[in-house]
Amino acid sequence: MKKKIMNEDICNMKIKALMLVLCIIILQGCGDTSTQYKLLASIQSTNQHIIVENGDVFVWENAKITINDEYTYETEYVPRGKTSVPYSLFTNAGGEVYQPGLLKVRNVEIIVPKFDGEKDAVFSW
Amino acid sequence: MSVQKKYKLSFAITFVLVVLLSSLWVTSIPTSGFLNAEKETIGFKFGYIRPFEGNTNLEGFYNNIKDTTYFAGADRLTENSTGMNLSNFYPIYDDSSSSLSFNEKYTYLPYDMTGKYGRSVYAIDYGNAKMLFLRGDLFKNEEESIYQEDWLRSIVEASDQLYNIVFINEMPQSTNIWDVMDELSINLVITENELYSPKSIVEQEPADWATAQSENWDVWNLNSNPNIQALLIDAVGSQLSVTALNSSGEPFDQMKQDLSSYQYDENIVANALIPIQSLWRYHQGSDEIKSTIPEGYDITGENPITSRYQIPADDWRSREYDDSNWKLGKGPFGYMKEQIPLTINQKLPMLNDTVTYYFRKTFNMQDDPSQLSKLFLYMTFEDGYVAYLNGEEISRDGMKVGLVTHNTLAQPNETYLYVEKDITNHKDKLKVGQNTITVEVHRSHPKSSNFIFDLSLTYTF
Repeated sequence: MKKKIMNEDICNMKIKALMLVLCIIILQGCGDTSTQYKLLASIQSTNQHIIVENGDVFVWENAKITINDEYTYETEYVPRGKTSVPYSLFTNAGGEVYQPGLLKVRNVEIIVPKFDGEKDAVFSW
Repeated sequence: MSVQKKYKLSFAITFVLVVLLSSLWVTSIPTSGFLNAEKETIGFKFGYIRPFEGNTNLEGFYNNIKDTTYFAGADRLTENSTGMNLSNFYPIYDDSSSSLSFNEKYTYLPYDMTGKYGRSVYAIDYGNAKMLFLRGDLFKNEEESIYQEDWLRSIVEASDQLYNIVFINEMPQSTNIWDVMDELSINLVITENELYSPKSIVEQEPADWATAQSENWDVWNLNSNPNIQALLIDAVGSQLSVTALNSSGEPFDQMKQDLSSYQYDENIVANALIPIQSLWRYHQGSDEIKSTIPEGYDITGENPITSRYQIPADDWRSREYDDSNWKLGKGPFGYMKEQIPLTINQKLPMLNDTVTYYFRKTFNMQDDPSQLSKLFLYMTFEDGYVAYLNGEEISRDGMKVGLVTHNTLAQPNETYLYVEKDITNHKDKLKVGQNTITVEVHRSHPKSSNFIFDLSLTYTF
């Protein structure tokens, strides 16, 4: 009888330990272990332009804006405030220009390399 | 109980909803954009009836000149109008009545505005016009002449009306009166036989148009055509037309004025290094047009540069920049969906690859800039701009501080027309001789339906 009770205690402890490990794993998933800064930005679009708002107190230098993981546009400066970029300036690796009539903007990524001199800063939409 | 009876109310509500919603099929619901109430354009219509021998049928004219309620004309036109309601007639004193009988006949006129001449000299406001009724006979006496001119000056200077129209039975021979007309920006003088207009605002000349005795004025001899029996003065915004009518009210000749340049502070045209509506070089913003960042310039704008700086000659803002391949046009520039009281002289195409136009203007400064007490910009813009004098920034509005590129959007703004910007603290950037002012004007949205730019640079000692 005593042995049975001891086995149940051990079983309960195992379950608690497993629950604890699971919680730790879940909580770790919520944290940001990224080595990148996040840009303060917002995106709007028209049928011919994408409007990027730099909400940071810094000017983004050598920024790379990518649409749909494929079409990119690089610019020396994105000043504070809103900047309008025509889709015609976005090209893919094959040199093809982004066609807003055929393709929808599914996602936008902005990368500012070495934002603080070391780490990149990113924005994903 | 049948289903129909049981759910009678539900069926009725559903039916009403279906009827209401069905209207959506035939309605174009706006899915984008915004509705903007159009500003009402101020204007007026005013008739002038010429004194013809034997023709005193005022009522006939009233009926023939459509959509016009108020008329001016010589006092003697009402000689045979006993019993007629004259309250929409503004008489011009012509010596046919004594001052006393004139006062008694036109009791609806303002009394003794001059403090001396009863109702015979007076002014009324109508629409955006100040109508000034003077007496030609008073100009024959120097003292009376000065008195009437001083009264005229006091009335016009206290008025903020765009149009100042003088009615007088005859113009005096003295040239002084024309100096007063120039000084007060009178835009129209109508006598029994002539119509006078400043040359600078004439858009369309009628037949028999000639230079008046004053070099700044032109004259329309109304006696040149016996059919001219009335004039219809019609103003909309800053555009005024005077149409000659025959006795049946049919038009057959016309003179037009554009008072865009009259409606702003007179400082804009006085001592102007760059007058409004000047010729400018312009070009759309582009990566191909070089724009450098001066050493020590904080691109975030947090720490504005306080020291003087120079930009290279190939920077578009430089005095030395070669703009010979840029287009040439006369301000104001732009395109406006919204109605404004200003005529755009150089229409610009809407841009797709940029939101900015660049403008350059070179001018000469002959006086010593250090002697200037004030330096002003008068800016017409929408939505934002940054202005530079000889390559250094002197003014910005509607734009965030710091670096701007040709793709930078302005903050949404209303249309500003010749708004004053005091840039006296930048007078040290002026040089004796050739100077260049450059301006970049930005839209607030790549699809903005309004864009406008003009500028005046003025100074006072």
